[in-house]
Amino acid sequence: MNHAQLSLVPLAARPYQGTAAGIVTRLAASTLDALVVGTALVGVYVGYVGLRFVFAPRDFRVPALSVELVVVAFFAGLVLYLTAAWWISGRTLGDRVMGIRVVTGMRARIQLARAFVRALLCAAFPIGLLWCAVNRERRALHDLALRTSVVYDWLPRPAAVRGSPKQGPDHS
Amino acid sequence: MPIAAEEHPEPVTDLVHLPRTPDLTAEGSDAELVVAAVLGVLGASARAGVTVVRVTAAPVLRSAWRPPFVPLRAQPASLVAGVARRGARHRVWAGQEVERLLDQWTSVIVERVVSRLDLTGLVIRHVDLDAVIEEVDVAGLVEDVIADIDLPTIIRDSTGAMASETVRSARMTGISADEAISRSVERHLFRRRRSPTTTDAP
Repeated sequence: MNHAQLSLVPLAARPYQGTAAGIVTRLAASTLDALVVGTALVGVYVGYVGLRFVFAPRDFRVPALSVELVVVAFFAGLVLYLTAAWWISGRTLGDRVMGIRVVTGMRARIQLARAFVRALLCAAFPIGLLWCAVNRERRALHDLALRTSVVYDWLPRPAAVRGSPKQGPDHS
Repeated sequence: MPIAAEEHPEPVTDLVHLPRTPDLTAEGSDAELVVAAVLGVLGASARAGVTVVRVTAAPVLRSAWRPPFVPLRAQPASLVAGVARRGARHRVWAGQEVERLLDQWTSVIVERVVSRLDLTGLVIRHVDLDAVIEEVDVAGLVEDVIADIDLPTIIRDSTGAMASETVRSARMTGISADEAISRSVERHLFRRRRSPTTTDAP
């Protein structure tokens, strides 16, 4: 990281850059991601209803939604969204807002296969995220399974290799 | 129509002064002729003498250098070759030693000398800094620096999400909450786990 990039991060947050993110930040990012996926699904549903109304206004009825369909669509949308985001940039929209990034043990961006498995685990067992609150390395269950980490990274692009992920200054 | 040089036969000014060489074909006085003849005889005699010495002395020197009845190891040529080999080895070793000593001591000596000098004062007194600055392409330097630090990207980043006070505040709040929870977990959970061993200790 050069000085020009460093200057973009506020002084108070600089010591935390590259260190493992905690439960609150990750929960907030996950909540934002869930909202993003939910909003996108609502948008798709509204678009679908609108198209049906445009093409068949006389026979128009609001299509009924089963709980199973909503759950499956949300699960599939979440997995797709998380996989694409982690594979492309290592961060979802929620991660971007909260300034965190998913990295491998070698501080690299995760590959497609690992991003997909991680997305599956996150969507299937979201409760596993809570494990990072009690894990000394702040790793959730899916992090431990796939040897990934979530670190604070406020910069828009992945920073250069800054050593292995570690906990915050108070815990190092 | 006659040209100007023929009307004014003065010599044209020499642009380049060439070294003058003696005109060997020109006929000189009798004295010069005698001196030249004597020198010619002397030169011929010297060449003949060198030829005679070379023809007569070479076999003698060769036999002294490689005596026919002396063992090969004791011949002067072999002895000199051995000494030369040892000398070459010593020369390599000495060169390496000198290099090592220079590497070891140059920085120390220069540091000691420079630390006793007021380099800044010397430069200010003896160097025309204005002339030096005039030689420097300041505009080009600034352009290079801007190109290296990628200023447009920095401006774009700083005016984007990074500049949002709300996002920054949310992130800092998240970090603070993370730290608080980590401290709390560390204090309660791990201390409780460690408590049996700590109570056993004296």
